Amino acid sequence: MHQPIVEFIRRQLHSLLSVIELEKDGRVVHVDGFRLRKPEDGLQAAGDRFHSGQSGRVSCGASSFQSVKNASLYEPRIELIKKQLESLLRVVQLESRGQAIEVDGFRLRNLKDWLSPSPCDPTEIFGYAGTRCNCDCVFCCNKGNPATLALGNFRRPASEEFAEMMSRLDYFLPKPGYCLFPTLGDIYEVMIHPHFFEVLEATREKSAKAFRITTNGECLTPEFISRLKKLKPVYVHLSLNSASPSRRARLMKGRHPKTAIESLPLLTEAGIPYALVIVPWPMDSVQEMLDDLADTVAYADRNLAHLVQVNLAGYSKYFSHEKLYDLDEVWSRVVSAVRDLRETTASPIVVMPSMYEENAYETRKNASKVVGLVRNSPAARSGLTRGDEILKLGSVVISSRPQARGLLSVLQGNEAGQASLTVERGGERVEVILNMEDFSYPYSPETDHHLGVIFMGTGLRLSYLESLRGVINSHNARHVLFLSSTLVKPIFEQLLAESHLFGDVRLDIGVPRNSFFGGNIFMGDLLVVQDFIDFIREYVKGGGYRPDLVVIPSTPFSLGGWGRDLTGRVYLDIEREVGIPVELLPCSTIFD
Amino acid sequence: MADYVFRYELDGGSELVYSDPLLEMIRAQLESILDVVIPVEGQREVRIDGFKLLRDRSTVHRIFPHEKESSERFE
Repeated sequence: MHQPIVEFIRRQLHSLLSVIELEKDGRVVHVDGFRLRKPEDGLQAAGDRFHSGQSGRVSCGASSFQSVKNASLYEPRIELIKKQLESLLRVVQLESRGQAIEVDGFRLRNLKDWLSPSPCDPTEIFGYAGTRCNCDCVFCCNKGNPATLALGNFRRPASEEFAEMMSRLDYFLPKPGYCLFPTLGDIYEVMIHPHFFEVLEATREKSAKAFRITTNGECLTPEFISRLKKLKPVYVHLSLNSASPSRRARLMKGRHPKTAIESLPLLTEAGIPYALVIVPWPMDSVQEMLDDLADTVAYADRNLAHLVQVNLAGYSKYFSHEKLYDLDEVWSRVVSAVRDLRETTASPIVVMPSMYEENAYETRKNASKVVGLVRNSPAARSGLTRGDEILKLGSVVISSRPQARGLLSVLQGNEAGQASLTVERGGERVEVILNMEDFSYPYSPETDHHLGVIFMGTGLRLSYLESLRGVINSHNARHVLFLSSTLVKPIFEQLLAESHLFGDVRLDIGVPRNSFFGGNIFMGDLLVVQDFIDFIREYVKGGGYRPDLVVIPSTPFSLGGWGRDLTGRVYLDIEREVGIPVELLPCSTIFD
Repeated sequence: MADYVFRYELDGGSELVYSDPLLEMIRAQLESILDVVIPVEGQREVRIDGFKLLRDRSTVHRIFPHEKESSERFE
């Protein structure tokens, strides 16, 4: 009577044991049989035994357990294995040489089974060094992460982290484009890891790609920079936040604010381009914050910063239950200050998220307007100026910012020599000639993307509308609810108004609240499954009817490529809970 | 150097939906598989919300405990 069940279990266990080994108390156990967990059945006959493949081996000194929640985000087949094992172990007792055994864990048998397609950016190796921090920034976004997030870190010895990084490097295959699935948590300060340079040097032997390293700068002594120089191409994202040692010390609580501040001319001398990152935080008053912003930008400019990046700060309800500042007041004043600073600063300055500035100041969005130019870049030396709008590249008419960015990237990659650009400047058309070989520091073909042109963010591709139409057609939907975000909605509405693709469809645009993170967070990419479920339920209740289809941009679910949100929950749960078909629209993040 | 060992702990699993352990085993397996795949028939994606045992084709067992029955979904 139980034979089909027994055979089902046997096959399940056999297939599982081809990819994992079972363990108890950190040691691998050899499993060669099982019994159903019913006292009256007794042991199974020999014919019910399964073969576990190669004989088990016993090992001591096991590494730490990995987080299954983290795995659910990046490689949910591991969570699948765990759940399958747990469901099987409720009904069977495993055996080894006729004796009942218990298991409490499993390990991956062959890492080569777990390779995933990857762009093989070197950060995928040394990012794992960022498990600790030597600062305690008052605005640190990691302080605002709830325990249910799938991105948490767990404590391990540095030597074990190093062993993992070196194993990852063994399976880092840039040529076919594969590496091990990620297990990255929150990334802190990579430079303080005791094995940081060993990992970097080993990674350099396998990849010629630029090392893009984010740091608070506390480690950037002359000796440290000298070692970094030997590993070029390197690009540093330096979270300086203030050029004033006393203010920086209060903002970041590091022990070496002057090391970070004095690193700028050293990086320039070493030929290492860097972005200077500032998080304006109204610690004392908004005006003091803005005055310091101006001083810090001026300092960066004097030291030939490749880029100044001003990150508009928000915080979750886990960071603070109280309102710390008026977000609109702070953000709008920062953006206004940045726009003034651009008039007097040669280093390009961007605000993140850039769509906030675009929505506030640009009547026509998604345009290919030049916000800044990297010093000494082909674009800067060609005579392009800030404010130019690119109309044509060679003979190709430009109709959107993503198109301009894409074509400039292609040009840079082709090393085509020269190209002509037609721009609109002060109401007139001007032609400039780009010479791809005319450049010097801080521009570098290895670390720049668009020949030195800085835009106001990535923009929205017009092809997204065509993809949306295709999704709608595949469902024969007539009433569609498209879930957007506060920042993206104005640009999306503009593109819709300019499009003729949706005349026969009712397309409602909704903006779910970031209830999971709360605080003053309002970013689409930080929405989770429950936020979408709550909004759809409210929408249906409010209108008294339901749409034929809900479409959601894929970006809140794109971190691991498996459709999981930041808590590790699969987007399919939205449809399961609300009973309305849900499709993801593949698209890229708005962050550059 | 030997490969770093990726280890994962077993912790007993999530809440039981069915009291019949063999039925629950199948339900849990389907539920977890459906979080990583979308079944297809030919080229057509198929949404699965239940299953029947081959020995009892008259009884439908739900896979997702919180999912609405099609008759419960609002019009």
